[in-house]
Order: sequence, then C-alpha cells, then structure tokens
Amino acid sequence: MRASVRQAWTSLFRYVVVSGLLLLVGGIVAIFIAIALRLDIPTLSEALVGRGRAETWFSIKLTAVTTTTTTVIAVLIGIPAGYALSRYRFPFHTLLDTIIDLPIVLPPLVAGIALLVFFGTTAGVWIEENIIPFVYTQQGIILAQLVPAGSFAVRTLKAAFDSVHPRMEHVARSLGCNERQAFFRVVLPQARNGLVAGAVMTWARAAGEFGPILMFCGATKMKTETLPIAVFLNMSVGDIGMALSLTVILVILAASALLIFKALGGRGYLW
Amino acid sequence: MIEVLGAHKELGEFSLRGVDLKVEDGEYLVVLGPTGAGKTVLLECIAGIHYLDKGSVFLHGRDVTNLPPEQRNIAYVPQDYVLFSHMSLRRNIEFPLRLRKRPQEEINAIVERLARTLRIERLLERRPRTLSGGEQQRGALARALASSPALLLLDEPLSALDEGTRVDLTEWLARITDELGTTVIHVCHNYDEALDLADRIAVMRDGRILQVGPPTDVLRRPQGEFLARFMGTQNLLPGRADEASGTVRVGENTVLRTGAEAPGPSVLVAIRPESIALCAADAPDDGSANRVRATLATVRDRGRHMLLALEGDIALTVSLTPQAFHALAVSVGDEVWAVIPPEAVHMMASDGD
Repeated sequence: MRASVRQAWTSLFRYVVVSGLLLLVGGIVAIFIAIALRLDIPTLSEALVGRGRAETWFSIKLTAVTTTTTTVIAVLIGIPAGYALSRYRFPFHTLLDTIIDLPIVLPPLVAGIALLVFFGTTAGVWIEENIIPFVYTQQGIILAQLVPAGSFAVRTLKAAFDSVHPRMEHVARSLGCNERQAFFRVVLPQARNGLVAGAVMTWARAAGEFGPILMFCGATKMKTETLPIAVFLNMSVGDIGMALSLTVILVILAASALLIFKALGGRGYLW
Repeated sequence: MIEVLGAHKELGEFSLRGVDLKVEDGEYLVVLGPTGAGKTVLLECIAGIHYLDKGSVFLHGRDVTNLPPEQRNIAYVPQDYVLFSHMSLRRNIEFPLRLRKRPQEEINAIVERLARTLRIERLLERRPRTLSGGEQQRGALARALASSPALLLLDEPLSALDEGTRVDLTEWLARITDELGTTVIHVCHNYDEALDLADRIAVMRDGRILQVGPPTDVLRRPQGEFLARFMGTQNLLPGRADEASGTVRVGENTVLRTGAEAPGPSVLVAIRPESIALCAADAPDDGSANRVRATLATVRDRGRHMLLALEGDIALTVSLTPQAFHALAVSVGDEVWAVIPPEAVHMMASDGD
C-alpha cells in the first residue's frame, strides 16, 4: 500500500514537471504553426520574386551588410574585452559587469534614445559634421545594433574563454610561451568553437534588432529598412502577406543561428 | 641545483609560510603532505606561475624569483596533464621545440627518442582526448622533457591513474628521469609513491616544510607526532626516558631499551608496525630485543600484510607478512610476545610537532 502511494506521488511529480515542459514547447510550436498556416506559397513567392521583391531583397541585403559589419566590430572588441574579463580581477568588478550587461537588459528603445541624445551633444554633433553622420543613416544602423550586440559579444566570448582553464596557459608558459604566444597558440585555438558560436549568436542578435534602429535611424522605406523594420512598415500599412513572409525569413535566420550555436557547443547567456 | 629560500605566498586558502628547499642536480625530491598543505602553490611559485610575496628562487645560482615562467626553463606537469586538445600528441611534444625554433630534423629526433622511451610511438598522431589517462600522462611527460628543462615539476602525477597504470608509470618515471639525469620535484600525498621514487622526501604541512631527508630517515626517524602519523607509524606512546640506563618507560610497567639518545626526559615513542615481530608465548628469550607480553585482539587482512592489534600493558599495532603470521599459528585471544628491537624504538620530544 505504502509503496503504491509513494509511486503515485512520484508519477504525479514527474507529470507536473513534464507538463510544464510540454506547455512551453507546445506554446512555441503553436505560434510557428499559426504563422505557417497563415502564409501560403503564392504570398511568399510574391514577396520574394513578385511585387514585393525589390523591398524584400533590399532589406535582406541591408540586414546582411549591417549585421555582418556589426558582428565583425563586436567580435574585434569582444575578444580582448571578453578575455580580460575572464582572466583578470578588476577593482569594482561588479560595477564593470553591470555596465556591460546594461545594454542587453535595458529596453532596446532606450539604447536608441540614448544614442540620439548623445549625437545631440557638442561631441556628437562634431562627429556628425566632421567624421561621419550617423543619425537617420545606414551607418547609424550599425551603431544602433552595436550597442546591445557589443555587450552581447563580450558576454558570449567571455564564456568561451572561461571554458579554457588557466592551467592551459600556465603549462604553455612553462613550455616557453610568453603571454602573447600562449594566447594565440593555445587559448585562441582552444576557445575557437565557443568564439565562433558567440559570433553567430551576436550576428543573430544584431539581425533581430529593432528598437534602437527605429529610434536612432528611423523607419524609412528602402533606406533604413532592415528585415525587422520591413516587417514593422508592412504591418503598419496592412500588407500582412509581405510582413509574414519577412517574419518567416527572420525565424529561419534565428533558428539556423541557434542550431549552429548548439552544434558548436556554445554556452553562456542568451538574452 | 635549485634553491628556494624563505618562500612566502598567500593565495586564497593556500599559503607558503617560509619554505626553504634545496634540490641537487639530478635529484628526485618528493614533497609529501596532506591536502591543503600548499604543495601545488610551492610548485606553481617555483614554475613562476605565481610570484613569491617574500623569499627567492635560485636556479643554478641564477636568481629567477622575478622571471616569468617562459624564462626559467622549468617544466611543469599539472595534475590533469593538460595536453593541448587542438593538436596531435606529436604536435604537443614538438610544441616547446617549435617555440625555440629548433631545426625540424632535431625536433624529429627528440620526439622519436622520447616516444620510444615512453612507449608512445604509436599514439603520436592521435588527439589527446582519445588517449587513456596513463597515455596522456606519458605524453605530458614527453612534452615536458622535450625542451630538456633544468627542473621538472610534477603535481600528483600518479594519483588519477588506476593501480596497474600507476605501477607502470612509476617505473617509467624512475627510468626516464634517471636516464636523462633530470632534476625532479614531485608532489604527492601518498607515502608509498614517495618511497618508490624519492632520493629525498620533504614533508609539508600548513605551508611549511617539517622534515627533509632520505626516505628511511623520514620513515623511521620522524621529527614529530604529525610526521610519524603521516608516514604510517601507528604506535605512538608517551613515555619517560631514563638516560643512565638507555631505556624508556611506556605504560604502567613496560620498560623498553632504546637505540638512540632521548631528546629529553619526557618523550613520545614511535614504533613502526612492521618493525615489531611476534613470537609464541612459550618461545625462549635470547635477550637481544625488548619483549612485551600482550594478547592478540584483532587481525585484519590487508592483502600484502596482516594488521594485528595487541592489547596488554601497552596497546600495539603490528604488521606482519601473511607467511609470517600463518607460520606463527596464533589466533585472536592468544597470549604472545611482541618483539621490539631497541633500534626500532624511536624517541621524539613529546611537545614537538
């Protein structure tokens, strides 16, 4: 009797735990099925090769160019910054950490507003007039993506460096490497998969950026129209078919990035 | 020769508190101590991974205290070997040689010689992840030895291996370091391992070195209670020494003749369990050794030896080979004589540690 009661409790517990999982996964799948059902092939082909083709391909190209540039910059900053964060203890470490995480956690709109405000200051205006204009331009998109993506890259790349034990470097040093050689010959190759995974996720994150671009660069058709902006513009004029097609492209991009990330054994935070 | 003088280092919960150590060229020194004694910190400070807070390290008379690891020519093999998993075993062994830009023929010759000695020729093209623990350890050893370091530091090189591999590797270690004349500091917590390999043993505890000496000295003439216990001396008896007669009184009415001078009137007597013999209750006394009357209380079969507990005026632990025990034909509850040679009665200052 007692054994069967215990068994019943155990199976009830498992039932509750697993149903939580099923609820979550089921919800996500249901949303995607809804999109897929709503979208038929003619609408999709219309967007890709028909009436909407110019706009679709413009936004795909713009997204590809800006996010790739953003990713390259973010990784170039993120590798040294992530390594430094992973290896060295800084004074006010928690404060430093918080500052880095802030752009990821803040509502994306805030990043856009902050950028606008900055380029309204004397320093910002000087940059606009003497170096390169950012506000409401295509290069501004890169900057708008970079604010969250830069922090995101530092986080994921730090996780990649964390996975390489400092003893690797100690041994490399005792075998005759100086600090620089130990980094390039041992740490970097050891962290390679994690670094690539981090870059891929940074890229996906940048591709999905919307809020800062909307605020900082505006949503101008055929000018600052990245994929998420294009979805927004088409929804707002009631072209649901076009918006859905672009959404599907975004979903496919995100799913591929995640798959690559998982396949490379990437870990760390994914906001 | 490597010399560590007054080494101090605070590193979280581990620390060195004034370590002095001298290792001659070609010597194999084992640093023995319980977990948390600071053995690894000592190795890492010698390797240059951490710099000393105070004190200095000399290598062949050169002050290397503030040199980075790559300028010390000291090879360090950590407990988990740390072969570089992104390159083949061959590339791992070549690593220090390529850094030093040696010609390829020379590199090949060195790798081949080491691989042959360590029996890893067939594994050279494999990735470290596909190798067993013992194979990885030999690979790491080959890599460390490839640059002919002035000093080889081994951190618990045998502790993660299974028994058979451990025995093999002990032999490799002894052979290759002997062959190459490598100076070694080997850190471990197992005194069997130390006895197998060491020219000298240093026992460490709480960031200090308590005793350094040849294995026999450390084993049979410990300089304090902790050292005696750590090296497996179970028989520790408080006693009063009588210098005039060269005896020590332990227990109510047991007086043992001793082989050495007492450090003071109040002593702690240490007798190793394998130094005590047993004989039957009716055996004649030839008077050459101390005889203590006792009752056999328990017998434990430990495989290579039998561990016997004796009760009487003093309690004693005795270790006999299985043959010796069976030849004696005694069983639990029997009266026996414990036979203790005077030179096996080691006296330490009772307050010392």
